Amino acid sequence: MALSADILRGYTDTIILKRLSLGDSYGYELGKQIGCISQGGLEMKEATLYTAFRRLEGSGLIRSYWGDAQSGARRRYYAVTPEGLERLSRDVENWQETKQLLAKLIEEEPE
Amino acid sequence: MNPTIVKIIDLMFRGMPEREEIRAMREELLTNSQARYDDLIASGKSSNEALGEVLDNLRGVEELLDEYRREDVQTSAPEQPFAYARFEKMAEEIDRRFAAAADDVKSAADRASTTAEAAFGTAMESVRTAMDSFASGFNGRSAGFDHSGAAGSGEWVRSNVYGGGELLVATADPAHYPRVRVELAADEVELLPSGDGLIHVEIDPEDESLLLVEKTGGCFTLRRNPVSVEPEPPAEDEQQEGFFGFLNKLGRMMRGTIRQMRSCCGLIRVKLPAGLAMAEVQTASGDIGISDLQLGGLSATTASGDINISDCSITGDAAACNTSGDTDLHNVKVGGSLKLNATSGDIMFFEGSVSMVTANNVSGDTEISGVLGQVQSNSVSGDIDICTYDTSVTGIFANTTSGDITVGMEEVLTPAVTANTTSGDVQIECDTDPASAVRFRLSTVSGDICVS
Repeated sequence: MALSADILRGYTDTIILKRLSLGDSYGYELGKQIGCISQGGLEMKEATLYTAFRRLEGSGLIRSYWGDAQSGARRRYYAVTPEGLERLSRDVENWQETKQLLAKLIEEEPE
Repeated sequence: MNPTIVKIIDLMFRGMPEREEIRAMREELLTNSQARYDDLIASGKSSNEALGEVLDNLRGVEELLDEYRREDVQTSAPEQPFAYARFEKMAEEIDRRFAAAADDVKSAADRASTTAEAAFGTAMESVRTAMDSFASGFNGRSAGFDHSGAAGSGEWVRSNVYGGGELLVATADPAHYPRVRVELAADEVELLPSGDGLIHVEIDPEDESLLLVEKTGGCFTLRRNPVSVEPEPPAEDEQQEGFFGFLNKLGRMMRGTIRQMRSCCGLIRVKLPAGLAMAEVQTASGDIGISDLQLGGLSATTASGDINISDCSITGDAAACNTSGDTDLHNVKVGGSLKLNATSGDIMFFEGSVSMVTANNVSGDTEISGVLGQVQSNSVSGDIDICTYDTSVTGIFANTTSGDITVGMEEVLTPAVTANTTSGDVQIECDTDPASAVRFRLSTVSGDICVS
């Protein structure tokens, strides 16, 4: 899993943009969805998510807003921006190319 | 909001700058952690299990906060990393002022009545005794072991933070962490067997300070995070000069010291599964208790606490080092070599078995009994008492300056005995054979030697 962990790390932002393109969400919910979809293969901890959110927000790819207060503390929601959607579609294209290239390079060739 | 989660987050954010960015981060982590906790409870987890997972998920947040702290520190004056250095300086300052104040009191008493002198004397004496004990507690704590790693110069991976409020349990899989290290200061440490094959850490429910768990290179390390206590602001009545002003300042310092000491004296229970490769415990002044464990290796070190090890089986080497406390091993089996060091405390090894034991003591007594292979015991003024239960003994070598040496054998043996004493008596009550493979070499300057 060492190689795939490296690859996954390179796609943290893309994964978050993809999830947010399907609907606004907050840190815990997003992390949980990622854990469920990957069947536990990818776990994003608070610190990872928090740094990614700040990075994406800083480059204008997502924006955040606060939900209603529940017993004193509010939930912070994230939404993807039009720029974020553009980046996502470019990332997805890149991934398709990378995937095909890697398959050619490392998978067994048919007889 | 779960109060423990609020407390954990607050502990993490303690000392953070008051900025909107930081406040937002705190709020976000708080609501996410609460959502995670609620989800885990709904799935049937216990409160402790859920809190453990919440904590596990906050791993790495400390490093993020450290980055924020560093950004802020760059603009402000450098702060001393730990309270220890501050307190040691304080102890020196107290001593200096005490000498000056004592002179003041003497000259004042010359002019005043003898009753006033007596009252001052008693008060000074009691304050001095209290200060001495605090100061020695501190010196023991800071001299006990190296905190340089914690000061930020070395690798210090803070993977988890555990705070009190209610009993929290940290767990780890021994398959990933075959070595366990516990480095604490004034805490009492107990190592006990674990029921479920995992490593568990349990903290005193009253304990409000932080413990750091480092998980690197197959080693699970537990450390006390030294708490920096904010100095109490001087009260108005302390502005006054002279002896009473000094006494007030002294009182404030003592209260600070007591708070600091209190924050670092808990009971830490570490439960270990059988078959761990190595367990190491270090404390400066706390007691160490270890019982019912099966380990590959064991090391216990304390400066002034007692060490009690009972009903343990160690396949490799073991060591116990103590300065002024007693070291007591009862029914301990050591496959490799056992080293026991003490200065003024007693060393006792009862009803155990060991292939090779080395015991060094200065003024304390040494008593070793059980199924013994080779025994090497040295002391200056303490007595040495060795008793073998069977015929497995191959050699007993004992040296002392002024202590007595007694060797007892429960099985009939014909050893080769060399006994030297300058001014003491030698009494040998068994058959000896100079050609025997079992050698006893016993030597003392002024003590007596008895073999029976």
